[in-house]
Amino acid sequence: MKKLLLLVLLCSAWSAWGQQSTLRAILQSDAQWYLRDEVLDPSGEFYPDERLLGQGFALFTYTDGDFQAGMRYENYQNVMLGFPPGFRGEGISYRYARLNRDRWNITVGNFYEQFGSGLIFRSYEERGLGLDNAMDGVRIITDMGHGLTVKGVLGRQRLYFGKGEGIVRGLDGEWSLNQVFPSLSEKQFYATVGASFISKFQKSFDPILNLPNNVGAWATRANLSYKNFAWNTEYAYKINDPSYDNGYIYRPGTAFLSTLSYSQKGLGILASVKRIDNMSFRSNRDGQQFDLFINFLPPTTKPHTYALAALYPYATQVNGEMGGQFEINYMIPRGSKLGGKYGTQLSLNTSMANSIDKGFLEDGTRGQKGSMGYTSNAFDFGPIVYFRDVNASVTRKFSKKYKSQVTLFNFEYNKTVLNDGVGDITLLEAPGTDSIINVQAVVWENQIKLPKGQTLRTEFQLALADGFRGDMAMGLAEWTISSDWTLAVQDIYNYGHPSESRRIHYPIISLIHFNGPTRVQIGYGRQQQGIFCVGGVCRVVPPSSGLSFSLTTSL
Amino acid sequence: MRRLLPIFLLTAWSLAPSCDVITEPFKENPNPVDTTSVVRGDTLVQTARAVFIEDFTGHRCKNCPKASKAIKALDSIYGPSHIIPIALHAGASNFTGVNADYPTDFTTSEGDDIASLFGIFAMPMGMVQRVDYPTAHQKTYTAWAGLSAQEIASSPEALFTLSAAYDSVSRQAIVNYSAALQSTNTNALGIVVYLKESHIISPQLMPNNTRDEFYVHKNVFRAAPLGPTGVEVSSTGGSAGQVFTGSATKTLDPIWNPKECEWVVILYDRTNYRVLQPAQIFVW
Repeated sequence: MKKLLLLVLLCSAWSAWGQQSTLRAILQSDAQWYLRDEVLDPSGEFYPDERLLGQGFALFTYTDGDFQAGMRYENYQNVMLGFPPGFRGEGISYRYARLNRDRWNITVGNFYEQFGSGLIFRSYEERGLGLDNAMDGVRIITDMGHGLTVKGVLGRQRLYFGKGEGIVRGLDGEWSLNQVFPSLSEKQFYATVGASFISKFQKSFDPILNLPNNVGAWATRANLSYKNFAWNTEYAYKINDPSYDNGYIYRPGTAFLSTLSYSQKGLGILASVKRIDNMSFRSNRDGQQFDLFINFLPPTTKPHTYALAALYPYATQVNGEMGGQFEINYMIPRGSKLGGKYGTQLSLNTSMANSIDKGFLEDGTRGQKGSMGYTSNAFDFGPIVYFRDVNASVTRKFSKKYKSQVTLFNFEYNKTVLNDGVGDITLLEAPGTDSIINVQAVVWENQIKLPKGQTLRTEFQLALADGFRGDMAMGLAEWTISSDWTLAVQDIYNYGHPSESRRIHYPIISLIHFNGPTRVQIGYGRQQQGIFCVGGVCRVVPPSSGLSFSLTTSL
Repeated sequence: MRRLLPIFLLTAWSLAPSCDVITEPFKENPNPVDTTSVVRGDTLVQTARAVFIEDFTGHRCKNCPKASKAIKALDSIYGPSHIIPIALHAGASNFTGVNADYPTDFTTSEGDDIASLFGIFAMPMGMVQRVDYPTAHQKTYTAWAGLSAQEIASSPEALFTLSAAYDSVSRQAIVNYSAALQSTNTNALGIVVYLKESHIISPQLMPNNTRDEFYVHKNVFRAAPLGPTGVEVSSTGGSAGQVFTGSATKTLDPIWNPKECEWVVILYDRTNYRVLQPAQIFVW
């Protein structure tokens, strides 16, 4: 009833204020008709009883001057394969009212927010993953003047169509030094420093363990830039937070993230390092999968978009990882001998992630429930290789009508950890039992402009792996017939799968129609089993076959 | 000063809830578990009604994976704190017997006794809270979801507190139970303790008549340390708030994986076998 009243109020306000206000809507609907595919899924384990599954949402945003309100209706009839099954049914999952006046920005209801890079607090939605940990409560942001901005949040987090029991409260302050010291800007030096604190409350009833009801975490950060250089760094600390994720150990958590970059015309260099130690932070200590994460641990590996390379994604290891990334992009100037008429883009990226050092406690145990967990030297890598990635690409435009890119990949992918989800403590107790897959891949992409405004984009991909999925080849042709229509055909052939029965084709054909803000896509084909990741957060994608439909529009 | 006021207010609002730094993780007298032999233990304190689903199955029963899938779906909806399944490989030997293709013997004498007691005549077949005994207690797997939903929607009649401990040297496992009645009951009450094991990889006949060599069997009934129908804890029922406590032990068979074993404890009405409340907890 309250939700209905809110809707009525919104509509009334919109009618009353007429031209002074706006009402916007975004709508998305996805559906798939699953077909029984005995080659892809011999036992029918993944074949849904419903045959057709569909889900979608509509987001309405009403704005009137400095006031904004909105709501999002979602439905899952039933949730599509691979998404968390907790999304079931329909309802208004997100509603808020916001006033931004003078130096105050006040939100009541649902909101998303992030402190710094998110090491201790990030409330966000990633629809592709089925992740939504929106806060439901109050957020106050105030501009204190002199470059100081303070944020306060209080509320509970979304859990499917309900809310988690834990209460989250936090404070963040960020100070732009340039507003106090304008002379810094004259010297092209820009500096922002910040600090944040988050605390969660969840009552404990455990009869054996003294579990903390209140768990706090703090972080400090600095973003500095001078001329072409920029340096962003953040350190976070969390007090004892025994949880399902860490096996109910009492060791405090820490996280460190630092990125140094340099950019000038035609050249960009980025280097980042990261160390995470026991930094899973949820508003429910027993939470699993994506449920009720308070923080976000950004990845320091490059997310790949080419299909075969994307089959080997890196998932952030919240219980401990240590690694870094280096990337350089260079444009060979146009008109030079090597650069050609339009210039040539070179890119090199390399990243790595290992376990952290986890030694035995004084009593000879490691990772035991109710203990401090382990000892760790912050500067030592652990023995388990999680991920290695070296990739390089050359992109060249040969003429006004033809552009080509070649990309090479070399992965070391710890299947046991990243695909099977085995924890580092388990592997430390049984060294050498993990399976590391070596993958070499190449992608050749071409873009050709055709007459009448048409374009053709092709991809040829080859991935050679010494196990797990085995060797694969892929071809893709994407024909933009007009500004309104695109037709895409692709096929992945897993010709080198270790199991002969899995050496099958995964063809997909898609037709996409654009009409202003509206996009409609119809596809038919096979989706292979895999892992889909966004920002180091991953979900398992089951195998499926059938006809898919997607509609996105805004009004 | 006026500008600083919001800072003070926000700071007080946010920082007032302090952090609970724990220096003694274990409570002084947590429960009746003999901690001298504990390698690793766990506890469960129930707060809601749970549903006990018995799935009579066999590795040569081609439709039985569908019933297992139905349990998996219920588990994904309600979670393991609400759905407490057990898979009894018991009954007709053409479904449960061993041969060269299906070499693992999942049958037990206690499981056979339970199947016999409830007159299981076909597979896959099951019971939900053992309701409707003795006339209509056998339910096909397509009915389990609706019955489970009804049960979960009702108030708990009893709530369990369980604690488990396991000695990896002697392979002896112990479960301590405490069942607190939430409403008055005048019938005789009994407690049953079962032991089950999951993630056993062994061949299974599949719905398409193929043999899945690497099928993962879950919730496989292994033992009933207090007997198939357990023990009577009260001949006259009890009033709300009354607590029944006890324990059960079992030395695990060498081929059982203690990390995949779970205790299942149920409180039931001895006059009609209806389950008032089940609970489950990992052995290790």
